[in-house]
Amino acid sequence: MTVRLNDRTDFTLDNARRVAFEGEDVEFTRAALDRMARAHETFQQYVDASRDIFIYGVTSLGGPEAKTHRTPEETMQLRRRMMRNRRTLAFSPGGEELPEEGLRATVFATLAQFIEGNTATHPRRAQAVADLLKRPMPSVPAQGVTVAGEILAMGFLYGEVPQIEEAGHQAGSGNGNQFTTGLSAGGAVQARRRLELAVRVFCLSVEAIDAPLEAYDPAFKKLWGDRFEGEALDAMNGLLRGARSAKRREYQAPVSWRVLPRVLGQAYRAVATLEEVAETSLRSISSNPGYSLPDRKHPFGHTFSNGGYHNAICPPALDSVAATWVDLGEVAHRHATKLHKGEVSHLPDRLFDPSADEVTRTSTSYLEYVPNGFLEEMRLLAQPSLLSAAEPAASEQDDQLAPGFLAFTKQRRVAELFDGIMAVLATAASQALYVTRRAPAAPLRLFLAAVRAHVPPVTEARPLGADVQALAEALGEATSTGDFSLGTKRRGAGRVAAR
Amino acid sequence: MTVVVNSRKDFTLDNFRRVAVGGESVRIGREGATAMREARKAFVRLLDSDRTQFIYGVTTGWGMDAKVRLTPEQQRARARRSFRGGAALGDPLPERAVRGIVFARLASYIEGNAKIRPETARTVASLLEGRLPQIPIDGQVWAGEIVPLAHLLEALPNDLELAEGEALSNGSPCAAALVADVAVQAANRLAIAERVFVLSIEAIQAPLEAYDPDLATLWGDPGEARAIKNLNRLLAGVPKKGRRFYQAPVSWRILPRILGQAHRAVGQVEDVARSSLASASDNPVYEPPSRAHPHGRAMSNGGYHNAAASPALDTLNASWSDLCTLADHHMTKLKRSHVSLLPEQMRQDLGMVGMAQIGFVEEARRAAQRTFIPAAEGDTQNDVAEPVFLAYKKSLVAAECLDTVLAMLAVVASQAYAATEREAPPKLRGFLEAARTHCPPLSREGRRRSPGREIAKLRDAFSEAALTGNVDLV
Repeated sequence: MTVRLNDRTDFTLDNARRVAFEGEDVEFTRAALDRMARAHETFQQYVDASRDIFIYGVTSLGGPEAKTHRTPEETMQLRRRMMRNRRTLAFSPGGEELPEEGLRATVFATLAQFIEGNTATHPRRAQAVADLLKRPMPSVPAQGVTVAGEILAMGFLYGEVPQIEEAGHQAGSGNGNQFTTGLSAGGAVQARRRLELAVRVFCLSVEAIDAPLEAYDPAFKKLWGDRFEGEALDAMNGLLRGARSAKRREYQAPVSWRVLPRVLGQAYRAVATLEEVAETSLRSISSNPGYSLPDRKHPFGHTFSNGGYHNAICPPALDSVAATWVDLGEVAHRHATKLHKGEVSHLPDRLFDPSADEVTRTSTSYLEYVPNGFLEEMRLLAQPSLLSAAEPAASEQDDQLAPGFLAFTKQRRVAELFDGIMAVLATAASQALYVTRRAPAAPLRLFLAAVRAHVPPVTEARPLGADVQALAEALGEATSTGDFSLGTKRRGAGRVAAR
Repeated sequence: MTVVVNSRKDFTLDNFRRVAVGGESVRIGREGATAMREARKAFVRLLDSDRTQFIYGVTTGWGMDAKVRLTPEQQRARARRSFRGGAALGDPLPERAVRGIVFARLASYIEGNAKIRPETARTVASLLEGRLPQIPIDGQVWAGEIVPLAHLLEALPNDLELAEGEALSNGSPCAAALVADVAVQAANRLAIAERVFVLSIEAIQAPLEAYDPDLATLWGDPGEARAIKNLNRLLAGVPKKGRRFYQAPVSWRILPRILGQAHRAVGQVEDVARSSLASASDNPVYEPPSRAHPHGRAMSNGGYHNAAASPALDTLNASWSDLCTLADHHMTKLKRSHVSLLPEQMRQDLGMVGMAQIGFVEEARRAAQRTFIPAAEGDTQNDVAEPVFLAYKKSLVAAECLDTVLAMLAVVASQAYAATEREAPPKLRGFLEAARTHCPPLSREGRRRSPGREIAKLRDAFSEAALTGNVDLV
């Protein structure tokens, strides 16, 4: 399949998902190509008519050199010389690499800068950038690229894109915040799926401890009046549909079970905010300078130097999502611990099978230790990605940094650790249901089967680490693929019924 | 004036402001009193229909004792018990926040969801008319809000009836009030920040194209659009010609983006405050009779844990921290002639001004650190604590740091106008004049003055304006 791009309204989160995760290609419509060509041509006239005014990157060079006025020809000549080594900006010594899907989303986001002519980019250059999506992405380091704007990372991503020699002047086609936008869009797609998976795991836990269902009653939607808590309640009630209502635990479950709709509600809020800012950013023209197309007042259009390359809405949204994984992880750890504690859960203590031999019996006991280190690391990483207090470079002109890379890499690592905690809780809940010979509510059974395909109930001593890691990886993979069977359908194990 | 409440819809941010900041009292309206009375009767019928059913805190013990079923005699005997006698300590909450907690407390009562009598609700409301108890800010992190509410209950007479004790100390009125206290000031604080940053834009004579109204459409974000609109309104009438001929440093150009995120953060705090104030958060919550439930229902739940307030406060604190950072960069650059194109150090007149902000910026960064669900567990039943007091405490620090750093930037910008014999933008002349009444322009001859004290006065004026809404300092 191919995503057709006509104007900025085509830069949706869903199209970003198709390009980034499904590997789809893009195609500019004829109208879009013509519009780009017209804007490019008009911009040449604008430059000719505005030789004496400041047009960043056209009558000046960039960054600290902006104060020196140059003719457009001089600038072009100097830039051409600078770009002879096309990876001239690839300064970072390397390290952790940005993920392929994030880079594909970044390329997609870059095309929004071109499509309505706001960077006066020649359509051939636009096509050359779009063609990057037909092959594997180059390596782009996640570290060492934090700068005012995102120009250092762009050196890695676009270094090999052919320059169009005859293309004349362009307005900032290499500037903007496409990395923050693309990485956030990818992060948003995964965050929604991660949250949906987390709700499944927590509902398994609700069933495992036989929590009274009144704490999740739909009446709380109205009583609390919060849209996102309403979404959490709907999701939980959908998954708990048909759950046994009689003979459950006779008094309220510990607080960590009762607060689930509220804590999950905050997660729904955080994810929805990330989706919203990612989609807004995908459609936004963030280039410096930006080019406004001709109107009555400006017959050749006009440019404006601006700070669009600094995306200030996505990093806080990524931070909030990371923080929500920490809070959910904390609650999940409470669950995993309590499920193993018979006096609290009313389950067989430490989840030993009551029918097993007392000497040789085994269970998931001690697995609840595992999240402790994860959580400590998550709490450290999920701190906010604030503006830098430092003077970041010799040039006092470029005096503030874009925190997008930092916010993205922190959220990604926190999410990875969160998947590990979810795998632990899913395993504990599965074991609790196994040793009490119970099945969860019908909508959860296939998911439980998928969990057990990776981590079968513990009936005899075996090392659990590899199984739980496989489950954690399957959960992580599902955030990219949307396959909530956790790969079991692919392997033909999807029909395994829960006990 | 008195705020009359009849239903949860009356628990608005505006009514909160009237009660908490404006000092107004609250009266329970006739409709509200009737709803409470009817609900109370229905609840007693529900209870009498089966004294062995599980109704948390009524037919059972509290907290860890939830598993203990009480006999009808025991139920009656403990009717008058409530959690009073707070064990927290530390500096007291601002009085307006305590008033806000009393107001928010009534939301769970007004439609009968807390099953208490209207007389008891009136007694709680009457706290607003006398001397309020002090609620310490530290040591208030536990499951729900029973610890801070115990301090509030010290001021109430002990004439409670069945099931009223726990209805006074359950729920999340503190979270609602604390996030609302920040919300009613946040938009004003941001308006002051926009004024000071516009003074700075004009001080360096930044090219106006970075604030071009077209950017609102090109960027497409409502928060940024609002920031751009406000900046342009405040910049109206400034000279278009003779400005700095090339782009200003990044910290000036990204202002609409950073202010836009601040608008977004303010909006989120306001949203969360609105829904929190109007929510019935008690455990158990009582749902009055319906066709499906002729006696109504008492539902055990986790409403006492407000999970939205702390993250919203954290996000706002981060925005205040970012604005502090930008203000610091502006001050530093305004003083550096080769960057600002202004006289070096404003002709050396500034002295130590512009050198004291770094500590406040760092403190704001610390205050912007995240407030997670605490790792400490409490006990095995009450195993998740609500951290809103921690987030609120950081909000007080972040706001004070921002007011301070903005006052400093206002003084440095003011000096730039004095040194270049220019005027502030027409819309801000009154604002600058008011700021100069606290801290007039400096000169080398006047170095014996103590600008620190003067800046503190300007900071206090900003803090006051955040509460009153007098953001133009008229």
